[in-house]
Amino acid sequence: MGERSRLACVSIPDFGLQVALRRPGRSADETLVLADRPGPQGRVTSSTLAARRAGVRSGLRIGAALGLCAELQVIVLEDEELESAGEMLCEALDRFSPQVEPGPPGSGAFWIDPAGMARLYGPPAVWAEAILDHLAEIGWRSTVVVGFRRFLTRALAEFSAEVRIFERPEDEVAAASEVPLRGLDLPKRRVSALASIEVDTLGDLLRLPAAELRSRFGAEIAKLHVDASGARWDPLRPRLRREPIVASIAFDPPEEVEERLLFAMKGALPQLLARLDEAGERARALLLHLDLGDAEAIDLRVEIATPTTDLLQIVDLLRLRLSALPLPAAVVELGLTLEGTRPSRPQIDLLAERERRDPRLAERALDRIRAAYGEASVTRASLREAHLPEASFVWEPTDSVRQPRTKELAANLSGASSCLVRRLLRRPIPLAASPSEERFQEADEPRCLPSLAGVMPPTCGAIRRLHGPHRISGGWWVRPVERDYYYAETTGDELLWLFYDRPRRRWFLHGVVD
Amino acid sequence: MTNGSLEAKSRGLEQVSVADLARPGRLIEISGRGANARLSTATSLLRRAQVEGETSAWIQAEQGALYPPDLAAAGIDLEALVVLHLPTDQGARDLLRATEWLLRSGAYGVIVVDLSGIRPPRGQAWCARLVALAREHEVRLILITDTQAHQSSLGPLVGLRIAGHRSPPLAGQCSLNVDVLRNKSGGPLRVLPESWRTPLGLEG
Repeated sequence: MGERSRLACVSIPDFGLQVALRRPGRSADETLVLADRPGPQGRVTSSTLAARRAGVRSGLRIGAALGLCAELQVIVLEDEELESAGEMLCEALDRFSPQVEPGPPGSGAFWIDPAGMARLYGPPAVWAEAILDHLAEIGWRSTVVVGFRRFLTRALAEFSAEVRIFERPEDEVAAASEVPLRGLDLPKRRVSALASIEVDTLGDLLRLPAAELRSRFGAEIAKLHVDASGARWDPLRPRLRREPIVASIAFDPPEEVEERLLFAMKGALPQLLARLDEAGERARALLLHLDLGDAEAIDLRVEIATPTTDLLQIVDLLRLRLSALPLPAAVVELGLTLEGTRPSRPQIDLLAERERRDPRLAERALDRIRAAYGEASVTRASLREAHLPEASFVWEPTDSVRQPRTKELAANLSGASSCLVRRLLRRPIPLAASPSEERFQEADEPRCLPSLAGVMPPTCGAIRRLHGPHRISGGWWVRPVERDYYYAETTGDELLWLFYDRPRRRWFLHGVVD
Repeated sequence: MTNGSLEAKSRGLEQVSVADLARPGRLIEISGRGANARLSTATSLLRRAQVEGETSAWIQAEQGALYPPDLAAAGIDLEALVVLHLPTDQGARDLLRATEWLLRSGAYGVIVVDLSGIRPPRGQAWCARLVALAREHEVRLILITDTQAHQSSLGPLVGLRIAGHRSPPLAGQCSLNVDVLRNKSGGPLRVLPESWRTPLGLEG
């Protein structure tokens, strides 16, 4: 069999989990699971090592998993997020072969054709290692198997931790015979039935007579037998790539008036949108390259939360982005590139009530704010497990709006009293040293009250009572942090949140109860 | 029936809880200077709106001091709360501009704008636009300002102006009294005093 009939499978183990961990601020050390649907009845589909250590296993109901680990974070991935990650991986694999076929959505499997790559990379093993290294560089854990059959390469890739190269189809079939049936996404009932007659691997399955498998174990197992035997050969079906949708507008003389630039773009956009529409896609982002002659060129990216072909909406976002951009020189040439995506088809639910607030309009409003003030201006808070207050949350950029979980909120609301909240200063403010600083440094204990002069307004008054301390320590691996937190009541009836930094022997104001 | 409620009834005051103050379509100003209970009151109103299934947004300065762990402890669904961080080099202009965009979309049920330490623009045109949009789309629009009770409010178009006072902490609880400084819809209101939990570490 020649090189042309070879096939490689790139597998991303725990694809959904890897996608979730790529979200800003996420870490593999967290106790985190993926669920198949929201709510306590959903089931765990994947989990981090920390979650598994807490006893959480795949298949467990979310309610039960939370019972095992109260800090468990549950994520339900949306199809769009998985599709977007799959698309990104296809683009990354494009540099290793002109023919890339993505597997079923969310599977994390990709088949690529190694034909003709020997001249660029040398032997298949070097080519496969290059793929592995490139994916690792962009933050993906992966395995690569170069073989001959679609099913066998994928089965081997999912159960291998390293690059595997097969020179002969017989070697591939022999290696695949060791692959266990559990974990091949087969019905559990069928796998249990096969296990009862000691058929646990693909090799065991191949030793059974093919003719009787369908009647005894069903069509899926019969098909598995055919696939595992290597008797069936499916050709590669690479995804079709369309030409990038770009336009270029030259200005002579160079242009610096925002309105004129905008109108030039407005003239070019309908044609670009029509080409995108022909490809069955909608615009999800617009890239703008401004050539400023002698000055440094500017590249902008305008994201659109809900993909659209609406010209006015796109022009509006461009207007906001340009108005927030000071141009150091006139524009000589302007490049426009439209990035598209296939619109998702929402399930038709005839009985569902129409939502009172339209999420698409909500996202469109957020698009305008991001276009005017940047991506970091629209966020959502995400809590973290950390000792220090400033490390206990991050602001994650977002482009979507979610409905509140009303049932859970209502359940929490009943019987629970309201809670006072604090303002947290971005940077703690050092408080002035008190007159008895010397004595207090010797004693290594905060025996004197800090002064609020110059930090708080005079109406705040002086500290009359301290509540605390509540000690927080950590960070010994970078810089030791040891703080004694206090609440300070002032004569002006204010409630301040202070800490005494023990290593630095100084008081800081960190927040106020408001 | 307590003495306070008897007295209020005899004076013809309508009695409501803090969370009931934010009715859709109103501009509510929470006034006060320094640390009283403005943020906590706004959080309480936000929580009520979220329980009713409303989409929510919180708008603050780039260096805003919102502390999400406390919001979560107060029962806010953080996943459903969009927080905007906007520049304040032109005073409140950018915060109010973004507020107007959100209101105009009609897709948000409650918007909290934290104007603490930020100078609002002069004139009443901005306020009129916000009030009209809030009314049109039935949005609860909550503005947190640091003007004191005896000082003038953001303007005559503010539908409800309130100021909270917190008692000193005692056994992990604080008593919150909210004064209604102005109510342009309905009669005089008396807000029932509530007992609120103090943050973690403040047992009093």
